[in-house]
Amino acid sequence: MNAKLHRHGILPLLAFLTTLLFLAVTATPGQAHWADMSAAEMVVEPSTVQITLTYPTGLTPFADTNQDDQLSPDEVRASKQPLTTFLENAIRLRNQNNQAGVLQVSPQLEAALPPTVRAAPNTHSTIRLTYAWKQPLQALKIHYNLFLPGVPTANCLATILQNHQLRTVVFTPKNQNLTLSAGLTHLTTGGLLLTIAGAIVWGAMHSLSPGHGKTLVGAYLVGTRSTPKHAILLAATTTITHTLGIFALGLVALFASRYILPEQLYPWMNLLSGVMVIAIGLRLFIQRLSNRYSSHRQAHRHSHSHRRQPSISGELVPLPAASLPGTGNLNVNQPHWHNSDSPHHHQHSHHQQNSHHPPHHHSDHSFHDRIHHHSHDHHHPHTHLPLGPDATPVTWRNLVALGISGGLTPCPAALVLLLSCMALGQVGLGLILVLAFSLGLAGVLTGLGLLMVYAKTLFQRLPVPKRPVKLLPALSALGIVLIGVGLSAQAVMEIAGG
Amino acid sequence: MKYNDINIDKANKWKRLGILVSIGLPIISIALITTQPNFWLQLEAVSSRAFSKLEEPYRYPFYQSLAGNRTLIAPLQQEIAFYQERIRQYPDRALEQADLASTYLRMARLTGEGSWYLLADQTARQSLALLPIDNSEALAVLARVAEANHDFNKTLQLAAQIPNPKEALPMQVTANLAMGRLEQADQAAEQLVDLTLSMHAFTLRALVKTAQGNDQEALQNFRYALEVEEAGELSHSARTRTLLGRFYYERGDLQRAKDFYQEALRIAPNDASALLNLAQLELRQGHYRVAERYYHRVAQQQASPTVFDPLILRGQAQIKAAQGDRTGAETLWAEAETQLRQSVGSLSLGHRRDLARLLLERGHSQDIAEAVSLMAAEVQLRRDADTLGTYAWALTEAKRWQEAQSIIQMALDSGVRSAKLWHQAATIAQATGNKAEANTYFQKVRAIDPNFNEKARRAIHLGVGLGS
Repeated sequence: MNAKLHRHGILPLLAFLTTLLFLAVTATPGQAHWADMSAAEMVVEPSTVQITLTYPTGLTPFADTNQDDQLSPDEVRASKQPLTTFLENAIRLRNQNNQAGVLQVSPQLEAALPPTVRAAPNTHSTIRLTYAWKQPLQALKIHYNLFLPGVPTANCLATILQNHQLRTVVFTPKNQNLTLSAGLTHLTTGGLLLTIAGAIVWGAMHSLSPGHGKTLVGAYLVGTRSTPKHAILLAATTTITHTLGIFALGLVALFASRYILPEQLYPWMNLLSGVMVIAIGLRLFIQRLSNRYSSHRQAHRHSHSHRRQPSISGELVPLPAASLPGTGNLNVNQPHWHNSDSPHHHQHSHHQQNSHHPPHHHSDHSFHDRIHHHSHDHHHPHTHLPLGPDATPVTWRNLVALGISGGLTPCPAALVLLLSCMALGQVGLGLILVLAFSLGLAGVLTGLGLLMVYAKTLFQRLPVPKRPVKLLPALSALGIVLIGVGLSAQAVMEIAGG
Repeated sequence: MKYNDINIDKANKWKRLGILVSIGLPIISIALITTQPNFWLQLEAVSSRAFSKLEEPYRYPFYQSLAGNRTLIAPLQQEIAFYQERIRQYPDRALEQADLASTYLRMARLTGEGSWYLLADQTARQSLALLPIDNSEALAVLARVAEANHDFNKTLQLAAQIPNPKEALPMQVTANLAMGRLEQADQAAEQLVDLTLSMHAFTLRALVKTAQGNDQEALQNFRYALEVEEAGELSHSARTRTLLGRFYYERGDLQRAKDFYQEALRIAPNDASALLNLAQLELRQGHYRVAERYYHRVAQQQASPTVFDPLILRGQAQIKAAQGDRTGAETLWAEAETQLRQSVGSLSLGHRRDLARLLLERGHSQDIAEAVSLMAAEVQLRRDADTLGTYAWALTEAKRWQEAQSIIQMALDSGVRSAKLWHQAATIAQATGNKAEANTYFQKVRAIDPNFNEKARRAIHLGVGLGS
């Protein structure tokens, strides 16, 4: 009978213990009981860390002399030494050299709570911990192990304020460690170089995101007789404008933040930029379209033979002097100008074998029109092309204006970079980083521009249908107009939306 | 002949130009438009206008003002950082301590993480220690923390000390609603609306009207709330739409409910309440994979334990059970049970009611007595129709018919239009042999929610908001 009772008593007990063990092992952190929670507000400073710690008073019963579940300022002061010893072990903070910070414990509240609030149940106490080091902090290792023993769901929510940035972390019995780097405030030379390199990479990567004038540069360069020099100039102008814009806006934000918010400027700058882009795009579109029509006219008016070698210059080709105005007859030895890069290509043959056409950046359309009012045979394949009304479609003015409009609206990311550095009192570093950021941007834009220029040359060498190519300049100009419309519409919406 | 050739050539050229423009222009336009900053937000705004089944003002009108990153946590973190720095500089400024406490509280309500309540509570106490009088904000924070701990009497007691009625009245509405004192809640809501005419005030009044069973007025107040909506109130905007979704869900209009939940998610893509309610809706429709995806999404975005964890587990358990995986369901229920048991008790953020519901959903006969006792304790604190309904459910499972009948009658006396409560009343009437009464009640169920079925019954307690 006894044995039976014994067996009946032991089995449930074993089952109960097994269940408890199972729960202890498998339980995931759930909604912790109020009494199991702790919270720590940490502020990381150059060589100290301040922690305002709220924890269940039951964890330090030795300090709660009146056993009211609250540590009064007097109790904290009276138990300062044992509290320090206890907390030094429970919350360990070490610097980059693995040196523990010197801990000081002080009460958080000096004033007494009003009676109504005191009446509210409170099982927690709040104290202030200060960890200090002799050297500036470059890294911080936190080990947090202040939990109620045997409570797997106990946790501590820590807010960590460092360089004006807040992050939160939940320490649990399973997650007790955290490592922080000290940030930008104390940079070594290596660190500074690394930061600048980072800003360049960031600028380059950021410029790959939507906006930033890539389409604008691409659309412009693909449709013009552009050279690598033009691509570099366009990217440089965009970058310089962008950098100056950020500096200007940063200064506005710094000195005039009481009167105007920088974000209020954005839509207006966007609008200005958009209108400029539309104007440039329209101008280019009209110009390129008129080029195309004039070239069409020429294509159907003449079919002549220049007795010359095909141009290998790739640029402007002299025409025979015979076609000069007023000559009255054809004289193939007189030079006249063709542009072999123009999209208007038509083939005819020249019998003359005398020479290459010398490259020359000059054009005269009225002159060109007139020399083609004749009809004769050409016996060698040759590309001679119409020029724009101003004969220099890639004008410096166009490039600079487009570059300025592309870079006029400063990128908010770069502005944030500058303002963050200013807020940290590192104005010089901010300027350097913005410059580095803009260099990254310039790198991508230049690369893209060069790609457009070289890809276009490659494109011309390929046996592709020529007519679509002829339309490309006009289409790309139309693209610029569309970009401008998009920018302006967005700006108007922002302005209208307040 | 030559002239004709030229004409044909010309026509061909124009044809080619036309083809090129018709192909090239759209491609260029698409490339240009899609690379514009904020393109996706603008697309969302346009698509919302074009395709949303919701009309004004239910459709969110401020898409243009939304930032690309619509997480609500980042701005709160910035606010916390700001106040912490200010307090470091000026430790004696009580009002800034109160502001910080208020921000911690918002973080707690947004994330569902209990530790934020602790921070809010302690910071509010510090503020009150520095400024014991005229410190409405700190008192309001303490009152809200008491409410989160289900200490509604303490909430009302603290709210009574708050000199600023704009701070006190919202708590009087919610605490009285939870305690089933609908008249007091109504009065407080009326005063609040008169005082503020804000979205929050109208939403609270809509909740009171819903609890009173006055559907038309409830809808009218929800509408007013959205008419006075302002840009930037993201959490309120999302919450009001989620509550409207709940309102329609409870009445069987699942499509409209879904539209509102999805609109809430467009405003705040990580809104846990909207996601959990969507999961409940999909579960009710038998779309288990979709429901599971929503639960997974809520669980994934939590860095630490939250009050939503047990609800997610219960929902997942229901999915497993519906799919015939009883073992899987039992495992999930056991996990949820562990979490709920750790959080139940005095001064806790957990719900006895949730634990009781889990025990009843699971259907183990040995759990019924505990469910009854849990609910008997809970109704000492909360007496809203939903809580009374759960108590009646526990009593029904315990076959204590008379008590069940009297409790469900108390719930129905509030006037709330709830298919689940009428269904419970019908079940009790049927069990006690009142066939005619049962039929009348079943008709009421169909009148309120024509689609109420077994799947709906199983998903009943998996929603968030409107007293759930």
